[in-house]
Amino acid sequence: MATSKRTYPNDYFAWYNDDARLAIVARVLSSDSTTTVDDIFDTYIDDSINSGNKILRIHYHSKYTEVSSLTHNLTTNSGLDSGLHPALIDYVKSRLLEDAGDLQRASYFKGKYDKNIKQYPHRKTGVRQLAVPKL
Amino acid sequence: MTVKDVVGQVEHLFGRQPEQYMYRLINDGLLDIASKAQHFSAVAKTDLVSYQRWYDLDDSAVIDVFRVEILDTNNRYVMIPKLADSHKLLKEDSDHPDNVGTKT
Repeated sequence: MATSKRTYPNDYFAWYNDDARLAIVARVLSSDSTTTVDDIFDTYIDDSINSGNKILRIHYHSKYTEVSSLTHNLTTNSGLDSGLHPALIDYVKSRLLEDAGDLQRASYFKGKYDKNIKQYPHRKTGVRQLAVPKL
Repeated sequence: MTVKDVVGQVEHLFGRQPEQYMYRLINDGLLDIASKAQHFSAVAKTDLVSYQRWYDLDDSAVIDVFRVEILDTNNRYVMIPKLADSHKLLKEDSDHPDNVGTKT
């Protein structure tokens, strides 16, 4: 029975999560249980499954790798897109001024930072408007 | 751009700053950008374990999960849906075999 669930995973499996964990559940089939169930999910059971199977693949929004040296490259080592480097500099300037007590200048750089983050990505691809020739 | 370039630009305006302090500010910035922009995605593979419902997420890397796939019997990863209705769960969250409703 378990094998058939993995033949069409999208028909039988589902996921949900809390803050720190991901839950994988499988649809309960009438052949799994003596109780009458309909469209109900529970913990997956497959006694034949081996360890090291790497069956689950999870896509997630990730944090960037932290920096710890001056030679650390923000793009290749941390994964920060080059389009966001100016925003990072504005953030650091804002924090420096904030810590120094200059809140007016800090809010200027914070505003620049927020604007840059909000506008990113800068629409690199895709059709944006019709190219109507001028007659 | 390297960390040295960032520090150089900042120090040009604000003068010399402690190195560790600059690392802390840059790391705070990276965390803030990651949570707001959410353009940086990654993939992790792990084992599917029988009788196990919960899989720990790496707090140092994961902001939020947006897609989950399972390897089917033809060795292709297939997307599975997110369960939106918690009323469809047969039992409360438990990994213990005795509490799993489908135990045979």
